[in-house]
Amino acid sequence: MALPLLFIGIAAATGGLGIGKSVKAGVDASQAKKINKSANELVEESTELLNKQRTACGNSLSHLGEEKLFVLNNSMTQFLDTFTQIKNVDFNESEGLEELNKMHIDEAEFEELREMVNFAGSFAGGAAAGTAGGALVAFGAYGAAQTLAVASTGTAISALSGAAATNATLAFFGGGSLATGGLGMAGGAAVLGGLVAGPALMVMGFVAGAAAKKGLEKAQTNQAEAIQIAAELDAGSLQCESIRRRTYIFYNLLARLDAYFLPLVYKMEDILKTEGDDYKDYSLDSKKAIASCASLAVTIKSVLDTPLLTDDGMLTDESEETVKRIENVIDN
Amino acid sequence: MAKEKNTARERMQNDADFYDAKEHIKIQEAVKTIDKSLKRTVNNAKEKIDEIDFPDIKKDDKDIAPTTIDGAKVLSTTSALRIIYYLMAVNGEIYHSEEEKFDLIGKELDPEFMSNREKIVKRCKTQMKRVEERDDYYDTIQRGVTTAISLSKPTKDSFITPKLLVWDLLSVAYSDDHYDESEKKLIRFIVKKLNVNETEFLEMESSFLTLMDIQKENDWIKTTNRQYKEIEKVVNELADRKAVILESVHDLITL
Repeated sequence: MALPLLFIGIAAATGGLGIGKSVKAGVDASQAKKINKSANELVEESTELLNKQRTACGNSLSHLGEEKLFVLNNSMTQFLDTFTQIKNVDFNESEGLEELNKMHIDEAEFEELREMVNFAGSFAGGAAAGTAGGALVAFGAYGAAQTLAVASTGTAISALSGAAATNATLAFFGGGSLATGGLGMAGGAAVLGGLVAGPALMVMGFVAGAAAKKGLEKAQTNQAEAIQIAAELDAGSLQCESIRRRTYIFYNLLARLDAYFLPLVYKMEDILKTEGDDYKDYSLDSKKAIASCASLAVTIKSVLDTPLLTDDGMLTDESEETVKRIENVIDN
Repeated sequence: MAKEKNTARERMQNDADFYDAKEHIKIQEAVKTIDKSLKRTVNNAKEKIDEIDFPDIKKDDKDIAPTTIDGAKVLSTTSALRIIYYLMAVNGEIYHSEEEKFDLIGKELDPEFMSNREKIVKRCKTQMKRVEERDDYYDTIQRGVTTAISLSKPTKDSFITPKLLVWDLLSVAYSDDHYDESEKKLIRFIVKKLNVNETEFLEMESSFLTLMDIQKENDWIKTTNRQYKEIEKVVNELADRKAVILESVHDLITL
């Protein structure tokens, strides 16, 4: 950075008096102070933004986890309880329901759904007891089947809470503020696919001040470091934003599917009450309603099953494909 | 003699007073006429001015708002309100629910909205009247929007971020439950014109569709034959979902 002309002038004029050096040092110190201040501000701004994005992202994952649980514990439970009471369900041999022949509903899907529902039941108990904060984030971030596999060896809540505590990405979203060092074991580890690298996570200690680095040259080094750290933090912010937005897309999809699903579940319950439990005796409209309901259950399962994040915190390609596919289902 | 002198003086004085009074009345009448004429001229001028699209008044440099946020164009609240009004009118009919929403947004954006409302609406209506000459309603509205955008001079105290404006536009478009093609077309035009990120706009649109589906589900569940204690949990969940969606839009606009 060029020195202001006024100060250069002063330095030249006073050189002969032997005080030029001290004036120059004063100017340098002043410049260094300014550079250090702006370096600190740069890092502070980026840290603040990353903290905001991280919190918002963690909240979104937690909301999605809660929504998944609600769907499993309510409309999906009601669906399975009713659907399993109906005998002789055969969508392939329904006269007048040719369009249903294209439906491929695997019985195994319903088995898996039942397992998810059972798991969600135990999960909800833990959540009510206030023990599942990080677990909700995990349930939002990963597919239900994946979460179920993690939890299969022990109590669902403790297993999930454990996963949340040992997984760097989940700790990043579920932990305390970066500034207060609430990163847990994730501190120093690369999260979000390495976008928020270890050194950048340690910037809580970044203080570029006169006491730390006095000279102008050192201040310029501070500035270069700050620029690099800020760039890493900003990349992390951007990644948090992408995850948050994808999470809310999933949240909306699930909310919309559930809005269509629950009326069909109620209708199916009414059919069971009024037309009995044998599918073969149902009217064409009732058969259509049952088939649509089962089809939606499978679609919802695919949303619940899709992991949003990879183990290192990157968005999965699978989640992008699911969004496209489900949006197509809803639009048609 | 002295008495006559006095009388003459008094008469003269009286005459003078009379003269003054007569002149005064004349002058008063003249002033009144001028005043009326002036008022008429001023009113005419005001009306004409209202019909002309002037740029928003620019204050000191320090009062000027950022011109862009994330690359999208920032607008003055006056221009934003005009754009919202154009959207309300684009399908040929302004619904009461749309007007209510317009007033709500107006009060939120501009503390002086109620006194400015008439002027804003009048400017838009003047633009819309031009349709008779050109016989193309949508194009006329779109030209009005373009003018409102180009003449916008946002200040620090009266500006709206582009994403918030898009959200407000969507809320107006959906307020009558009819998000028709002309509204869609105009909103997309505005999104492009303001350089708002296309995917962010689609996410906002998707959030609105979700809110509408939730509202439908909420209306439906209250008409079912289930007891309230059975549906209460769902009703509460639907309220929570609405709140979460609004939180997501808030994040989308502000972060």
